[in-house]
Amino acid sequence: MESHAHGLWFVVVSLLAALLLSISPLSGDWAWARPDFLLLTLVYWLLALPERIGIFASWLCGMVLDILQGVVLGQNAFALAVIAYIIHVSYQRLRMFSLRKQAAFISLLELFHILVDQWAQNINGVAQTHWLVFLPIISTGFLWLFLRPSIAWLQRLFAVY
Amino acid sequence: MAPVRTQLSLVAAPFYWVVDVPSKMLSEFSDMLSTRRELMDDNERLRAESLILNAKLQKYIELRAENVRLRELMNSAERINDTVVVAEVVAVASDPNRHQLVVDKGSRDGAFVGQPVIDATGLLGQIIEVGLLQSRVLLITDSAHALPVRVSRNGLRAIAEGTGLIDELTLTHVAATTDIQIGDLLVSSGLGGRFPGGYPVGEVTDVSIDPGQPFAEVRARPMAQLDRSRNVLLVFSEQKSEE
Repeated sequence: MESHAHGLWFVVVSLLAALLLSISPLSGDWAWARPDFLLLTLVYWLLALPERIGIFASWLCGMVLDILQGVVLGQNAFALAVIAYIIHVSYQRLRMFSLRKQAAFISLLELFHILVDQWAQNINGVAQTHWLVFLPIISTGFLWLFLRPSIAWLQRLFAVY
Repeated sequence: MAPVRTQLSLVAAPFYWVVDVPSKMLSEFSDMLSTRRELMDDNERLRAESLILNAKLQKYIELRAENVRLRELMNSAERINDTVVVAEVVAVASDPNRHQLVVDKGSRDGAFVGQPVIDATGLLGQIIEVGLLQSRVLLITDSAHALPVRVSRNGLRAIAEGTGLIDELTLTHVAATTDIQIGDLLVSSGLGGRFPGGYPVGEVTDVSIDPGQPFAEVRARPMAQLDRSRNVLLVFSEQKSEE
């Protein structure tokens, strides 16, 4: 199992791209439906390279997202670290799931992420919570159906392992 | 924790720079494609605008002198003109629940926490976080924001709270018997000591009085173009910049 890593730069690039996508401007109401790109990309690598990408990497990505979004430091970091733990203890089972079943599971993870976000924001005094904040659950799950095959193809292309 | 955040925001700067590239390129591209005809039209329009503004300015100078005289008569200090610095919006908060902007001026340019931000039409918000190169602006419509205002028609004081909707403010604790009407202009009162007085904040759009409630429900539309401004102005009031 333990062997020389290859092409890990692509993991970093994909995570940076996900971070950029999560702060890129979206017009008007579309902003509510923004899929959680960072969660999707992280989950992909957590499933594909569990021996390389783990809880710490997820925590670090979450921390960068916290800085970018200007929210409470550690809000996304905590949520993503817990999600990484959940994946880490169940990745062998999750890999066996069909694509659609995985998408459903990721929707649940996204729900957890949103709840942690809202919880931290409410403590911080951002009281208004619109039901539209739950819209990314659908968009994130839906995007997994396309994102997983695409990253898998790129992973083979760049021989990332 | 604040100095740590200031350091960490340096990490964010390159990300915002990259995210801003497409819109920058687009605007530069359209600049390149604009025809001579369009430029001439633009030029003409701007000349006309400048003429009108200059004419208005003459009146303003006169009024200002009069204002100073009257203030001297009343023994109150003259309000000194605020200086402004133009900043460009490089990002908006990705979460639509949070009404925040990131602008390209930081502590290097003298920005400070609590600094008022305006645009061409009204008060926009205030700076809540300063990095070296960029700072974060909380808009007046954010649900965590409130500011003291005054109705310009009769001087009535109130608090304008953000609602979390980009085009709405609410005035809290306005007695049901108060003289406030649809169309009234709200200006900042300067009472909080944070915003300088006299900047337009909003226009009252709805006053509903329920006999069973002690307070009237007053809504206002922000004057500033919160979701459109690309260039904003950071205000340096006299007292603040001396600190």
